[in-house]
Amino acid sequence: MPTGFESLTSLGPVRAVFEDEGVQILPNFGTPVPSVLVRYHDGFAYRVQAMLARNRKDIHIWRWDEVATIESNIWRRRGQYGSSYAVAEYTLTKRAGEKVVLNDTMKESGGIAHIKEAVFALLEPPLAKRYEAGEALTFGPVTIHRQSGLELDQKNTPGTSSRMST
Amino acid sequence: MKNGRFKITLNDREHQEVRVSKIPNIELLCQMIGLNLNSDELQYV
Repeated sequence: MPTGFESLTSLGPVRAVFEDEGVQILPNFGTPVPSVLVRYHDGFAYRVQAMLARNRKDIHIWRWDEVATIESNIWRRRGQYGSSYAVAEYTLTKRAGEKVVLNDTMKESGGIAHIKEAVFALLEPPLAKRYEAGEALTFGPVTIHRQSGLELDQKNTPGTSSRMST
Repeated sequence: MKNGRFKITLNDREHQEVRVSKIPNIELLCQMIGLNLNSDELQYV
């Protein structure tokens, strides 16, 4: 267990520990990318750079019920000699706006499959209730409504395109 | 959903698409509208 994480009893028992498989030489000034992540029963905690974390304040705690969205960005990157490989990056956002990026620097992107399962299990029931009640739900550029169907807002969304069928 | 793109066909047969990476909680969206999500299709090609 990485130092400092053993005392986080508020998140319940530890489920898995993930550590950065590479060496991060340059500091990251954008959205934080954990170098250590511990998944617990009720959430996860991470530290950006273990060597810089001198006290418990450097550990960020995320409870499952604090996570509002998970965006999955997976693409292929060209390697040497014509080969290519998949690159994955998952951006998690708290209801308060705080973000963290989980990527391939950790095995299984920090156990993203389990994280998604836990987060979506909490988000799905109230959303389903609102959808069944006839409320429009928005997922970024996509809005769904039980009666009127799907709507795609392309005005302010990079990466969208439109074409007529042939 | 195919090759990392979420595609819809409008009533006037116009096709629209958006990269799935732009859609938060894409798995929940698919669940709501009864779309079976093949996780391989999340990958943008």
